[in-house]
Amino acid sequence: MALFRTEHVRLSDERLMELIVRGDERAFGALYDRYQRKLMSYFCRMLWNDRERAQDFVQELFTKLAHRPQSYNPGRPFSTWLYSVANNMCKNEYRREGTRKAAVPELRTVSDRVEAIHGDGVDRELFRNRLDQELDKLEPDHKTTFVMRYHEDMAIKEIAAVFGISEGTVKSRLFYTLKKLAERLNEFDPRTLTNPSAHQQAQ
Amino acid sequence: MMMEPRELYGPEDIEQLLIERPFDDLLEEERAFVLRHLSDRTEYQRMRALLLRVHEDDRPAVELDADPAVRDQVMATFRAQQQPQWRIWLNSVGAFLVPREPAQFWKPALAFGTLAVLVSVGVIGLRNLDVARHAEIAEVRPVSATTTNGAERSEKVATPTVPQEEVGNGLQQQGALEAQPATTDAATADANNVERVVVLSDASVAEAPVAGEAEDELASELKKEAADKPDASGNVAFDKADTTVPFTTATGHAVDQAELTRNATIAEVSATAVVTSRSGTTAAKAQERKLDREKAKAEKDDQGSSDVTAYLGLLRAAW
Repeated sequence: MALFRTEHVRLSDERLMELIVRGDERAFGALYDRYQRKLMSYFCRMLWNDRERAQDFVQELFTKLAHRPQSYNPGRPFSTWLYSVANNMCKNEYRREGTRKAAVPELRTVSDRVEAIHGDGVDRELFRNRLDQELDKLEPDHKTTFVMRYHEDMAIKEIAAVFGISEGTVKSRLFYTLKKLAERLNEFDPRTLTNPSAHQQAQ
Repeated sequence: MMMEPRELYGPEDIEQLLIERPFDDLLEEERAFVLRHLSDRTEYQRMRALLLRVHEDDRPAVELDADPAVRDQVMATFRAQQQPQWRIWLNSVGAFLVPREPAQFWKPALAFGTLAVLVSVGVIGLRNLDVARHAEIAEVRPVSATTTNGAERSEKVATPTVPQEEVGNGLQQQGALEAQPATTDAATADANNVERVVVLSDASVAEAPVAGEAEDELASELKKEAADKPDASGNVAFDKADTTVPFTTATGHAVDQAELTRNATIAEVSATAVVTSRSGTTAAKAQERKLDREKAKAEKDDQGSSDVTAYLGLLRAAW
């Protein structure tokens, strides 16, 4: 019987989704294992590094998938579809958070704090926090594009598919986001600014 | 004709240059392109620094694994979703009917109590509905119980299932009946009833088997009497009476078949007359009841109108 057992790990996302629609529990498990880490990372970056909230969102997303696997359009790449759902969830959360923030302005001050870390860690931690702060100030679509591109390492084509826009628009969006962030975070890494080859050597 | 050089890069393509080379390493064309979109070298270098730092900033992936409990919950949700809905429904029914905590037993008790009350109310309601229907029929009957309708009805009753031989007998009986008009006149009181009897006498044609039954009854009585007699001659006579035509009673008067039939028909006619007179009485009673009802209704209407008048008077006074 083991000969005929499907090796779900090797199957494509789309094939796994077909099996999930038919009620294959193992396929669902395989898909969860494949994407839970990526989604945790994505939600964590998108949701102010709130790990608990990211976990809740991962659970919510897969619960949605368990309830309505038919909502996935097989004509689209699965990852694109999944990230577009995740993106919509984040947008909703921004809206909710905006309302909450308006009600209680000091709500996000806890995550704004920088913990005391010695050595290189201090600089890195400071940079992360500043970057997250500045990302939060951007338009949600710009932030998402940036996170998808530079944190999730998604291809321009994939991002374009998630948003349903052209690749040129994604590139343009990334360029202007980078320009803006560079202006706002110019206090970091003067070594690279003065001597870029040194940074490359360090890498 | 001079052609303008085609733009090789769009602003979006600077990303690749930023990652690959510092400003000083760019080609002339590339540098010109970059400077068309960025203000100066510093801006380019700043953007490049940021991009490299972002790439460098790989947060440890181990920390970003979701809790195993999340996986369990998600898998349980999927499993539950795949189960047939009726099973879930049955489970919930079971949990409702037999709760784990004794304190929760009031719920099924209340449900069953409500159900019992509903069923009883339904049954009582249905019964009342039936009664109301019967009452309606009872009300209608007296109205239709006129002489003509009664005759029609008796005709309807008379028509079905009459064997031909018995019809012949019945015709004979009718002849016998016509031969004795005095008896019929005596049985009926008024002209209507006479009419009824005449009509019903047609029906007696169909009811001829009843005369036969009377004959049988008479024979059985004779049998009894003969059985009561102690002597054997009586028994013999009885046995004969079974086969021979003339009937011998205790008085010694021999009753022949024609007489027996005539008697039975007269008895039938008188019975019909009684029924007719009864139905006449019932019709009269119904008429009386109807009149009473109309009277009561009229009284009620009067009362209602007097109430309305009083109410109007009050309103007028208040106004």
